[in-house]
Amino acid sequence: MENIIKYENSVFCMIDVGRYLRQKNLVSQDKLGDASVLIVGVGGLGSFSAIYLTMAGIGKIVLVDYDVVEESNLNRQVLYREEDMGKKKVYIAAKRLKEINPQVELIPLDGKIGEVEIPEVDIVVDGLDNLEARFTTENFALKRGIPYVFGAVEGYMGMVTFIDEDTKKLEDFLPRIEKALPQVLVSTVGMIAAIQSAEVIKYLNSKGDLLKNRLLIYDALSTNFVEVKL
Amino acid sequence: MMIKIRYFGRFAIEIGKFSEELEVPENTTVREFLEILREKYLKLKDETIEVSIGGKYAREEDKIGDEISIYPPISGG
Repeated sequence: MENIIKYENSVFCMIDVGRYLRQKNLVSQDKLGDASVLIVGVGGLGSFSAIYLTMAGIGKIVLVDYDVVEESNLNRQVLYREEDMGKKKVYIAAKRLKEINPQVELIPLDGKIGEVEIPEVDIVVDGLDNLEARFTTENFALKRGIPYVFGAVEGYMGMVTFIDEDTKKLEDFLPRIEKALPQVLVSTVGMIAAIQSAEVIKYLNSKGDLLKNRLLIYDALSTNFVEVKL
Repeated sequence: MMIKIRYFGRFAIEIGKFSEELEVPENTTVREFLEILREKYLKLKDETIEVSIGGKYAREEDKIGDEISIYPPISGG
């Protein structure tokens, strides 16, 4: 149900009350609706984060990715189908997300972080699959004075932390050592992206205790979380 | 001193256990501890290993404590 209220010469479309009925006591829907989030990379982590934040009703989501859908993405990159192979991820992602929640403004940008022009956003979510782009993304966020929610996965393990100008940075806990084409499990990706999205929602609502200077590690194989104080 | 080690991610898979107790000399540094570990488990020989001690991120020069977690740096997505 969409409520439309007329104020003299203007028409304001109000937030869909019914869609968000089951979260209205948890978050300020106005705050989420006024927010803009940048998701860098719409692969495994980015696809799940994009879905969670689209469903939650973020006002504007900017998606950045230069890649096309490949068959080997389909074990974990939840936004894509076999028929999408060879097509640019950002455009497919934006189309699917719009189907999930038509109220969200989606801005797909085909390119790499650091190379495409990015509009003003409130927070950056890591949906990347390599360290170099992560350091570039962190640098982008810090230069803009906005937070960056780091996430990474490999095998049965994932990690997540919340970085801003006052916290430890990637270089303080992440050696620049890369494992080529690591094995990645959809359940781990979904778990880490869920935590990243929750951090975004909390931040935008000024709620709770953010993962600042706390690296949360999830190990699905032993079903354990460990928190490392940075 | 006796320390308890928890292994995360591929390290647990490579050595076949999630945790164990190990006797190490007093005042062992993280660097020395990692040498002991790499000698004990050849599969860790060439790995970059991250360490937390008592839940706090540790550097190579730090002294080891009795609750250790070790995990690999990861970058997938």
